[in-house]
Amino acid sequence: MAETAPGALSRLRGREDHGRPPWWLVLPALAGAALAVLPLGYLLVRTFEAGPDRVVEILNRPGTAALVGRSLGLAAVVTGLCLLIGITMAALVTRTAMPGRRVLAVLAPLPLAIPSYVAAFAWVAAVPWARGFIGATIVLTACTYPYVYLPVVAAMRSVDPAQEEVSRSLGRSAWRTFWTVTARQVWPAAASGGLLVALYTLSDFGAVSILQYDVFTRVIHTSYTATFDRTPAAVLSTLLVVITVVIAVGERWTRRPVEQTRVGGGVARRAELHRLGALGPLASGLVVAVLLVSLAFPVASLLYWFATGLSAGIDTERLLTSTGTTVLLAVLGAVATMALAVPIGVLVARHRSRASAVVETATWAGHALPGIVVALALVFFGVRVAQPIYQRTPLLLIAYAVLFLPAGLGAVRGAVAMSSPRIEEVARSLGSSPITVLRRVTIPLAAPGIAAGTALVMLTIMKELPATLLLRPTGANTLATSLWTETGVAAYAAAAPYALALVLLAVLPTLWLMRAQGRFTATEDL
Amino acid sequence: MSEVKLSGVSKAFGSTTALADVDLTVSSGELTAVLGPSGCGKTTLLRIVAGFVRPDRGRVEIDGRPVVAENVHIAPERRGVAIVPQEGALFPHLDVASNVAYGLPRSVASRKRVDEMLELVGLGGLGKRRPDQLSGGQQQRVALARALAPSPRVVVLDEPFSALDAGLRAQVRDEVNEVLRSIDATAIIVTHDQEEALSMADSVAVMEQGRLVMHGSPTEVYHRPVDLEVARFVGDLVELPGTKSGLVVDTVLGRLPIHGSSIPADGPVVAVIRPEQIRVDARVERGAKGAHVDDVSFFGHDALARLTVMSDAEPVRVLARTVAPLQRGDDVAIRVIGPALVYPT
Repeated sequence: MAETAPGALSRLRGREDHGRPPWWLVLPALAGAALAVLPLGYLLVRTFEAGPDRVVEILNRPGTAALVGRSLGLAAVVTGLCLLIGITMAALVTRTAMPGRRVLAVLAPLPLAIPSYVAAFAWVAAVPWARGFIGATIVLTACTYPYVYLPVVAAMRSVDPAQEEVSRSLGRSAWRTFWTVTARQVWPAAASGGLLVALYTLSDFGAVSILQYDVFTRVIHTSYTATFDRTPAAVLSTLLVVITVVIAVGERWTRRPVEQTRVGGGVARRAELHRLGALGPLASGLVVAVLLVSLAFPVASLLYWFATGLSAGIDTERLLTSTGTTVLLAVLGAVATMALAVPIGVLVARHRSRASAVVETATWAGHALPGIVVALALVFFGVRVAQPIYQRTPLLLIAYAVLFLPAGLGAVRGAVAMSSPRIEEVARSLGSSPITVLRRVTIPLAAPGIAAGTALVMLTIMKELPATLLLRPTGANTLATSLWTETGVAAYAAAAPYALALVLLAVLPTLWLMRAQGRFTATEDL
Repeated sequence: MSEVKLSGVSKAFGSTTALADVDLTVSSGELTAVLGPSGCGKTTLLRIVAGFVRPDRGRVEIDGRPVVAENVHIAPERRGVAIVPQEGALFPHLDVASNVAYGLPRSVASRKRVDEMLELVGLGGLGKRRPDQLSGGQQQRVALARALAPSPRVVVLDEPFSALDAGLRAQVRDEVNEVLRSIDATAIIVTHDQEEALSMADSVAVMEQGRLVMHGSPTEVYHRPVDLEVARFVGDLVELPGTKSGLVVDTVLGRLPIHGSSIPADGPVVAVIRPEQIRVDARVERGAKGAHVDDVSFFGHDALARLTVMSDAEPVRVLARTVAPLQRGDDVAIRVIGPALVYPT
């Protein structure tokens, strides 16, 4: 019989465990946190040095209100559609015996891996009318519904079927049980996924730009490139940051209780599947339709334009140099990101304190800031303060580190938290100093998770567009920027090889990695 | 192996007092059990000795050298106090031999030492196994070998058997006890299981709400508990209202002699005996009391019977440990063997 200490006491005891964190952990962590808030800080400086009158004037322009309306409108419509599609598909896949359930469950999360600007390229190249609001809605919904689908599948699997059985045995119908028992428990996961979708939609730069829908990111970019006066771009960026931060705070807030309920849940028995009878093929048809739009169509369009381009001849040399640059920058960026993430991750996982909470919140800036905003802020910073590294690799690496620190940190923290602090105490009691414990126990135990996190960050950097576009070293082209340039002049056949190379180089390994890591396990063994 | 001495150790977490002014001396080469219910502060005490918790006040000395005192707090890795946590906490990335070798310098001698330790805990030849290929009991024994390998001055064990199931528990407990005895280790074992504490330890320290209420040999703790709380905690109890006069106490079970210690003033008291002190017979003898069997829990080696004693006043319910084949509804005769303890009401 395990003894359980009273909750309050053990929590306090946990805080006592490790005492003050050592300086060799705190200093790099603080440095990383400072770097993470650098873009935001400099953006605010750049915005408010224009003077309050100027800021108010820009905010008061009639175009600004319309811009806010369009951006929030797109975000709301995309989020609503994603919730509808994500929850429906999750329910069908986990709770019904629809035909082809297993195959569809495996395919359903895949669109997440397609960069939205690649999907946008595929659409605009195939159906020229798919521009503006309609196109942006289709492409962003198709690319982001897995943000809802995946957590909802996981949540539905963690709902103890015994609860549903109790509800049925107390006289409620299957349908009422779903709404009163299952849906209630699944809702926090769905809401958190929905907020991620909204955040993604507001931050997305590539898709809305290719599809020519004037929301914040595109207008900021146009304003930045079209005029010498960059104050409007700064003011609009700040406004966008305010909106995304509000949503990101909401997302973080909804996520907490979900994680707690999952801890207690464990995986109970498998729920009995509902038989759909004649409706079964209809349900499968719905899911197939979603997958046709989100997966099959972009891939088909890509292959079509690739074939077209093949007959016209491919600029092999440029394709190869773009690929080389992409890989090189991604490797460097991933190393830079993880160099910051490891000390912060260990600090946050092992030394809970007010200081570590501040550090963690700071790093989270990358999660809330759109890539275009980070890029623009670093452009300002480079031009004014860091001229020697402006339009050189180091500034771009900083942008990558800021943007992907939350992802890298998540991997490190998760990997470190997997092992019990008791194990480290044993090592201490056997004569190891704290830094030896880190070297001999903590890091080796976390190594697989950290390695996987590094790979994931690297693959994500390969797909990054806005920061690379604005901050890349002069004359350098990556696959993403080449695709962007060719699409910009409607040279779809010339753009297709870059898109295809991106899919082969970044998208497929991402899928494999996420599968290996169990990110998709929610949909396995159904 | 070494003596551990705590004096005046206090620790509070926020407004919760975990330890209040605890004095405890663990003699060299002795196995001391710290026994108490959940949340009594015993784990905090152990973590203070190991160096993972810093007390608010008090001293801790190992072999006369302070490891905790005013302005002194020796780091855990420099105390020579090896810990065996609940569930073993083996390093999952190392095989069994590397786990045991963790606290040793890298050398040929160390490799020999690892083999010796594995032999000692009865796991010779399993050095290449991964921790997840071991049973719970084997993991616990590896954890012990790992703790003992660097010849620590003190070994502390935190509820080391609570994660094991009942059958395995007694066996692993005996094995661990044997190993600790064979090397004359100074050991502190924290447990909430009185049977474990009484059967393993040379001395038992009983804790209650952060206070050390009694420290003595297992026999003393069981037979002469300092107060009613301790008496209740270390085993089943029959509590009878009684009237003390001199060296005897009058109860519903008759006039009983009083154990020498713990003597309150004459007058009303609580008289206490253990269930095994009540002898149950099928027929009524001289000096015996009639009782009715309400219920019997049969354990195989003996049984615990709940009885109602017939008396002129209100009926009194008592527990008796017996080997007699009793059944619910039997009418029996009972009498008390040995002295009673008395506590103030």
